[in-house]
Amino acid sequence: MESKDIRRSQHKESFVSGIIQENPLFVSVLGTCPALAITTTVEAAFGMGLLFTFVLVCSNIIISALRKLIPEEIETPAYIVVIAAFVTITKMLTEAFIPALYSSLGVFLSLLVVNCIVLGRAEAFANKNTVFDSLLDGLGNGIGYTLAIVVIALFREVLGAGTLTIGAIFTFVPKSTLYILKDAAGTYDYSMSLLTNPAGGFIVFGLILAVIYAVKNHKATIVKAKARAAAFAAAAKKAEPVVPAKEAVLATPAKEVK
Amino acid sequence: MKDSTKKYLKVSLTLAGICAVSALAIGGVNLLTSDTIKANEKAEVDKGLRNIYPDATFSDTVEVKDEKNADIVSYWIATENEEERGYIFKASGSNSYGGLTILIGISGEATAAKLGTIYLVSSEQTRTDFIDKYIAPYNSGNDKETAIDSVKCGATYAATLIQTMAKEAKSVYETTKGAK
Repeated sequence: MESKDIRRSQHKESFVSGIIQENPLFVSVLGTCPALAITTTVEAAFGMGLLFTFVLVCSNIIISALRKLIPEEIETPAYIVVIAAFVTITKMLTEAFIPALYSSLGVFLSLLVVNCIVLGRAEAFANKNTVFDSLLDGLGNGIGYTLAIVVIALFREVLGAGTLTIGAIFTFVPKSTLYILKDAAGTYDYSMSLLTNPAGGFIVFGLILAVIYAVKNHKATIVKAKARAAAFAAAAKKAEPVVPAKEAVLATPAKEVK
Repeated sequence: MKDSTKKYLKVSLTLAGICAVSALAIGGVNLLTSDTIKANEKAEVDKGLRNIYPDATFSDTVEVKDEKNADIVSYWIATENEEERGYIFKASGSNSYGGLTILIGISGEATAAKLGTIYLVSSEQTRTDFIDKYIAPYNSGNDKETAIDSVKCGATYAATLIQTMAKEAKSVYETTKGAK
C-alpha cells in the first residue's frame, strides 16, 4: 500500500515538476534559441510547443524502453538517432498536414534535433526511469515549455504587433484578428514593433525572467525573515529568568519588610 | 570469441539496429506523406501563378538547366486572350540562413525585361517572418525596378538571395525571349 503511494507520488512529481518548479525555459533557461525566434505570434509558439512535446514524449518513451539494451559507450549517438528520427517524422507530418505551421517555423523545426531539453531529458531522466515515468516527464516538460513560449509570444504579439491573430496558421480554425493596441482602420497604433524583432525577444524574455526571480527572491526573503523571527523567539525564551515554582516560593521564609 | 570483440559487436549491432528501425519509420512516414506534400506544393505554386497573372492561362512547365543561373528551376508562359502577358519563373535556392522557393513574374521585350510580382512559395529560412518585408519592395509600384539594384535591408537573411534570384530570372528571360 505504502509503495503504491510512493509510486503514485513519484509519477505526480515526474509530471508536475517540469511544468512550473523545473520549467525548462524559465527555471533551467534551456532551449532559448527557438523560444526567442518563433515567439512572434501566439499561434506559431503554440504549434512549436505541440511539436516539441510530441518529439520529447516519443523520444523519452523509446529511450526509456531501450535503456537496458543501449551500451553506455553509444548512449549519446543512439539518443541522437532516436531524436532525429522523431524530428524528421514530425517535420514530414507537419509539412503534409499543417503546411502554414511548417513554413512559419522554418529551420527551427529541424533544429529540435539538437535541442538541449530533448537530449537533456533523455540523458538525465529517460535512461534511468520507467517508460511511464519518462512519458510523464516528457509530457510535463513539454507542457511547461509550451506554456513558457506562449507567454512570451503573447507579450510580443500583443505589444509588438498590437493585435492577436488566430486562424492564420491553424487554418481549420476560422481566422480572426483582435485589435488591441491599434485599430483596423489605422486611426491609432500604440504597438512597439521592436518587440517583434529578435532584440524584442530578448527584452521580453529578460523581463519575464526578472519578474519570476523577483517573486522567488521575495518569497525566499519572507521565509528567511520568518525563520529568523522564530529563532529570535526561541533564543529570547531561553534567556528569560527562570520563574520559581509556586511550591518553592511558598517553602522559602518570607523576608521581613522593614 | 574475445570479450572485447563481443563488446564491439554488441555496440555496433545495437547502433545499427536503432538506425535501421529509425530509417524504416522515416521511410514509412515518407510514403504516407510524400503525395500530400507534393499536392500542397503544387497548390501553392498554382496559387502563386494566379496571384501574379489572375486572368491568364498558363503553358506547361518548362524545365530550366542553366549553370550560370542555377537557382532557376522552371518557367511558365502566361497568355491572356491569345496574347502573351509574360513569364513566371520558379526559383529555388539557399544561403546560410536556409532554403527558399519563390515565383518571379517577368514581362516586356527581351532587351528590356520588366520585373513583375514576386510570390513566396516556401521557406526554410531562420527568419521566415522577414521574407515578406524583403519581397514587398519588388511588389510595390514605386520602387519595383530599383529594388533589384538596391537591397536596403542591410543584405541580411534572404534579402540578397531574393535579389540574386530576381537577377537570374531576368537573365534567363532575356536569353529565352532573345532566342525566340
